[in-house]
Amino acid sequence: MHNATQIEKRGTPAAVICTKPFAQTGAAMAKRQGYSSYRIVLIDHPVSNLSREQVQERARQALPQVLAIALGNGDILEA
Amino acid sequence: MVSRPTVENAGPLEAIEAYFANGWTDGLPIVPPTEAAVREFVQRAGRDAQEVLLTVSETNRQCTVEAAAINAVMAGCRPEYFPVVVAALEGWADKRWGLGDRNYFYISIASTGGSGQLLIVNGPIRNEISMNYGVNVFGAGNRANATIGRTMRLILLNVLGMTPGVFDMSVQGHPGKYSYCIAENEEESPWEPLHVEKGFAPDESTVTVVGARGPVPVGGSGNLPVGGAESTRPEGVLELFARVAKTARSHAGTMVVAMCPQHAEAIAKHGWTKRQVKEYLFEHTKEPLTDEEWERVAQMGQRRGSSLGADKLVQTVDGVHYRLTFRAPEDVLLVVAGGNNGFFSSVISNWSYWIPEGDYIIKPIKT
Repeated sequence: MHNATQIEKRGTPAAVICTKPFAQTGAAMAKRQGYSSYRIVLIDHPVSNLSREQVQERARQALPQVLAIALGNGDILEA
Repeated sequence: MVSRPTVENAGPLEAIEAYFANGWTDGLPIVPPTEAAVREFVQRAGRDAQEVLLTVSETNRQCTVEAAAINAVMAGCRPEYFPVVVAALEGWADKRWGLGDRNYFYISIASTGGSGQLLIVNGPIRNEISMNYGVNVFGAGNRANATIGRTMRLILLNVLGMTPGVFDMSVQGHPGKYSYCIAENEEESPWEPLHVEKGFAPDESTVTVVGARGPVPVGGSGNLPVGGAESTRPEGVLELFARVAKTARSHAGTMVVAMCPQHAEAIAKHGWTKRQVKEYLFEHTKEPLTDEEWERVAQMGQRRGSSLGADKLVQTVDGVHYRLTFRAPEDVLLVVAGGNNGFFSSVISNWSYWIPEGDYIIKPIKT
């Protein structure tokens, strides 16, 4: 999240992907960086013990949300 | 005009409850920080009150000398302890933490791995402020150990904003996240103390900071290899440490070996130096990997990148792949601590404490 907000501040859109237990952490950090409602892509937990195929499934879960942010659809930022 | 309640005009219990209500505690009552007490602590440090000692960009927070002093008063410190806190904060701010990537300091606090922040104090200040380095060294009962360690946690919570469940996402954490501060038992060590090993004079005082998981016990009647071997053969003693170190290791190399005086003496009486102990543990904590494990470790190394040294935690000899516990012998951060009344030691793995090999983050304490 920290990296994403730094990238955003340079004018490049970024998409942050969190597993669901870290949604609050992501939102809190965005707020500390000055973004009151930063949009976060949420995927199922966990990730660290998944097989390659299972990770790809998580990526498929994230993709539409990432594209929506990259294409500027939806309320993404309130700096 | 109604005057604002302050710690000066509130009763102590009222002030304590107000701090609880605001979430400005570690879950225990604090000492109300009066302005006079805070001023005395700042003066003791000999620093400007507004000097920034540490910045954590992830939470967008800074710790000034004054903020540290406020939390030191709250933790129950005496003013003469405060230089240890200031030096430890300088350790936390050290650019070597993360090998240049300061994110790793934040991660060492925030990560699910659940590390605390261990302080190891060396030199004359240990006795000047009556620290405990003997019996029950990691336990309760000593004001300096307890309140210096508590100060560091209160700074993380109150100043740097590392709120549990929000920024601190430790799955379990450990009791050292209340307070985690020891001193080395230099008086009963057969070897040169940590600060002398790292080039400081014996009469200088230092604090070493480590992002550290909990102490894992080494020794006890249940896991001695052979009863008598422990005191007759250095390898017998060190094999115990090696076994525990292999299971306690983290993804990174540095590990604290907090050796009790009896274990240390059992090794040193055979003429073994600290260097030999480190080399033995480096060599005897390598484990052969299955093909499947090798594949996974290799992937991890690639993901983390060689700049963090993860590639140094695997080694291939004659076609056999080994996983290492230490990157090099210097990754064994060996100190003597605890009472001279039994064979009970600890190993403590680090967490997100990527530092140059053998280059512990150790800071002089200026009194």
